[in-house]
Amino acid sequence: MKATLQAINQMQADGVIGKYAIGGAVGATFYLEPAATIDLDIFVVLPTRSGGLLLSLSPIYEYLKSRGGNVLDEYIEIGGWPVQFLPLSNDLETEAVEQAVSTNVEGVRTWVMSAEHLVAIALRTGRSKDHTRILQFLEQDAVDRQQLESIIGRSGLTATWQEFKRRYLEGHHE
Amino acid sequence: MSKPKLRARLSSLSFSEKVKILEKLRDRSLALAVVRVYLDSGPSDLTPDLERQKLQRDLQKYLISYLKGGAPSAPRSAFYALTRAWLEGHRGRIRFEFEANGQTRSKEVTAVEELGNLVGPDQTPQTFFRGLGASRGAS
Repeated sequence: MKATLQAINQMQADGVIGKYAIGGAVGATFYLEPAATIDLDIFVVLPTRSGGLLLSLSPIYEYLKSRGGNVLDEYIEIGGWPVQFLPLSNDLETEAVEQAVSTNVEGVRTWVMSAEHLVAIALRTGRSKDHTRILQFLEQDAVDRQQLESIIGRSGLTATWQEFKRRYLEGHHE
Repeated sequence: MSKPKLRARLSSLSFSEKVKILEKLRDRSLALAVVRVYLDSGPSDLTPDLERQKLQRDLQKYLISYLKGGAPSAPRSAFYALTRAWLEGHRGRIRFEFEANGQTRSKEVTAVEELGNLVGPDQTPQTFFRGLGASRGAS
């Protein structure tokens, strides 16, 4: 993954992408024990151009293809990892990238979403594997519950959170 | 070591160490879920079907062992030597079937050079998956 992150950092330096943060299963691994995944989710700020927002991911794919990247549907393989670039689609993701934690992989600087933002995004996404991940965070006491509740409230996910807690944490199954 | 202790120990590793584990898990998932190897005979090949099937089974074991990342080079060397001999001696084809994006796909190899690019000396599981176009593999 070192080569993958070096390439992504170079994209940032070249102005192809703005700030970014690792999310998904790889992001969760920053806080939890490693769990099998085969791709890397990169939440990314797309640079604005004169005249408005750049809404297309094509410049990213063109940039990487010209440097030997292999496009596989919505993924592009960089340094042996299929990478999915996810443009920010709501305030929660924007905040998650803005407040991402700086770290490094084998000396290469990178950014990972906070545990609380990862949980909130998983709650919003809502697939069964997202619920499993949320439970892992909670069981391992890897989140600040007060901060998490605050993010959930700001993101309009309170009702979803209450339902999640009712189903998974209070033992009330339908 | 108990499961909670093991979990705590794994969680406390550095991100770099965890990423190395992720890479091994990823390669193992791909290896186990993705690839099947088949030997297709050329029109003039007289190899008995049972012999071909036995060789195919052996090759499958070597391939999985190599892709799982066990011994560094022995399974790859064996796989390469046997498949190369098949191509050269039987004028047949090697066919790899794999899962990609929920669909079964296949890649046929008829040339030794192409085989070498997949599993020849100095190649890795990553270059193999890249060569197949199977990097997305099993999700």
